[in-house]
Amino acid sequence: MTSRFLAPTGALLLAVAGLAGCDSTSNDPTTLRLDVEAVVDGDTPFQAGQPFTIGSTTAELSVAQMILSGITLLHEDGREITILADEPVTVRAHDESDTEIQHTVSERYVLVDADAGETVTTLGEVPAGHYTGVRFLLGVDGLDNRIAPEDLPAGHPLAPSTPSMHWNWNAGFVFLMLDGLLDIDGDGAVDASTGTPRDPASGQWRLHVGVTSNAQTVTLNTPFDLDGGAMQDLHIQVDLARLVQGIDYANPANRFCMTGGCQAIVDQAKANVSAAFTLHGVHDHAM
Amino acid sequence: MRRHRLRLPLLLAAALGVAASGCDASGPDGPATIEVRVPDGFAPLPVPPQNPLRADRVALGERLFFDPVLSLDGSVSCGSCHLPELAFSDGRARSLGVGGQTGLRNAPSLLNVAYRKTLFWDGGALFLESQMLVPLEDEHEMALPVDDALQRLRQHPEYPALFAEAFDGEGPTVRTLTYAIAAYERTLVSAPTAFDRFRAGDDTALADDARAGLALFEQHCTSCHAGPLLTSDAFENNGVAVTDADPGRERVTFSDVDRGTFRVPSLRAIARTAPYFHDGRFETLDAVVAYYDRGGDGSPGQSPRVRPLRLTEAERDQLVAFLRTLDDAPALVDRPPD
Repeated sequence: MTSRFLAPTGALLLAVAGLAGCDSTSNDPTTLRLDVEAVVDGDTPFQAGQPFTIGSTTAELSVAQMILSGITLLHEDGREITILADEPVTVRAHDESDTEIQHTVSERYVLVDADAGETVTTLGEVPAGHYTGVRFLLGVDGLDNRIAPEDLPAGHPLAPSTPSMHWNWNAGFVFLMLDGLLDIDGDGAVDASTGTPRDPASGQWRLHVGVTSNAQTVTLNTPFDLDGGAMQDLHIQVDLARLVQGIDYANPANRFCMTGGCQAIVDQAKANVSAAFTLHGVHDHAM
Repeated sequence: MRRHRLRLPLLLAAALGVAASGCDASGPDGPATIEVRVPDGFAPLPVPPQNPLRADRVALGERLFFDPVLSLDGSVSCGSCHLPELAFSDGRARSLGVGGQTGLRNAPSLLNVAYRKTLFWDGGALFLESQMLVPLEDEHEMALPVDDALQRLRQHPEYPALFAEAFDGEGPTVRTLTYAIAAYERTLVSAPTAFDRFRAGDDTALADDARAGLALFEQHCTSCHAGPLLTSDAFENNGVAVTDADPGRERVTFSDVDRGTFRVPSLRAIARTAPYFHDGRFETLDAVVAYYDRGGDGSPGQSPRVRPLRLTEAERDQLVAFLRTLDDAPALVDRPPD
């Protein structure tokens, strides 16, 4: 069974249940937040501009962003509770025949801005109880990936931002954006960019992954409990170094990938995605 | 630029006409809007509900379109590469951006751009609003990060008030900047041509050589250049060689089957939009017709629609004569009906 939750609707339904006599605090909803923390080298908090290692290669990132969607809590009773947006927004989109249509974006998106620190997003009220895990998509799926982002209200995770997570020169969003430098001469320190993509003498490192077929589902089968009446944080870690391991950075062509013409790099990152995310637990917050 | 200076009063006049009939900016019906007349046979002008053609918004967009404040060094504007007198193209094989830099492709005409399903030679952009950010930020074009552009506009002595007026109090933002310029661009619609008058039944509208050219056109060209806009708006490989630097639509679909394909351009006002093809390789219509007459260059993936036509010299001239009738010059692009 699948439930799709808008936070206000969820609150309303649970309030109705309470009027019917279910007054136990354990049946109260949990106000849930999603806390996404980027780490490197295992458990070291990621900091923009600070070196870390990918295997034996030293790297640093000035931009590390990603878009998560389809956040679904897997309840032990079989329910799948998908978190939807508080306020659906109707915008323009192009369907597959390139006809402009009006389209309602109802998915809940989370823009993880790792270079700015931890991303904490209020997901809204969800049923308390025992959960077997959580599932989400790294990316943007379906027509949502063919919208006019300018139509979205400011502050929406998919609205125009700096750096832009929308390609503009192409339809769709960048699901994973990593911009930084790599050590290319093996001295243990990152090297400067010459400004020329794929220049063998340049330390520039850029990985931008987009296109719907490259969106990747992540399922974290780690049990957790949500307490009724509490505000709690679902704490997820993403290891950025793990996300981009297994790529031969000695090859200059592998250091600059904008999805097109470098699918092997994209495929390697996709293969890393599930192992890069871990569910670290649930933490209480004062209401 | 003279033509541009003439346009604004016309737009304002149109807006005032609407206002006089009851649509006043402060009235219950909301702000005055522009009504753009389109030639017979054209579909109604596509205007998204999110970005109506408010007169104040279109006027703001027009000013921004021609203002070099939106380039890094203040040297070029949108209008530098899209000149009204050249049907909003620029006459160069490849446009000059800040510092004299050149990009990969020929600046396409913006005439009737509201009707295009997608934008750019490769169809990468789906919306006029999103499209605007690309030349703004491209280092070969205006080279100005959008945040810097917004900062300039917010500090400008006049723009904040103009934005606030056109967007109900909202100042310069990505949304309002892109909406304003896109609103203006949607008004760039052809005026009727001799070809339109001929299609409407005026047998005198085309000279004999152009009529003969029309027959050749219908025989050889309309599989791609069809309908009132004279384009399928599809993507075709016309046989010219491409490079890895510009592989055509492959750049946006990441699919090698799209290598060498580019948008089929509209032929409206084609005589004013030289040079031709995505890289401006042909300077004249005669050269273009000669290319298709010989059946293209036969590069990999060439469309079977491009094949030798075996035209005589006289027929090639007739075809060019017809193509020259697809121009509304010297009329303004949105002139009122005669």
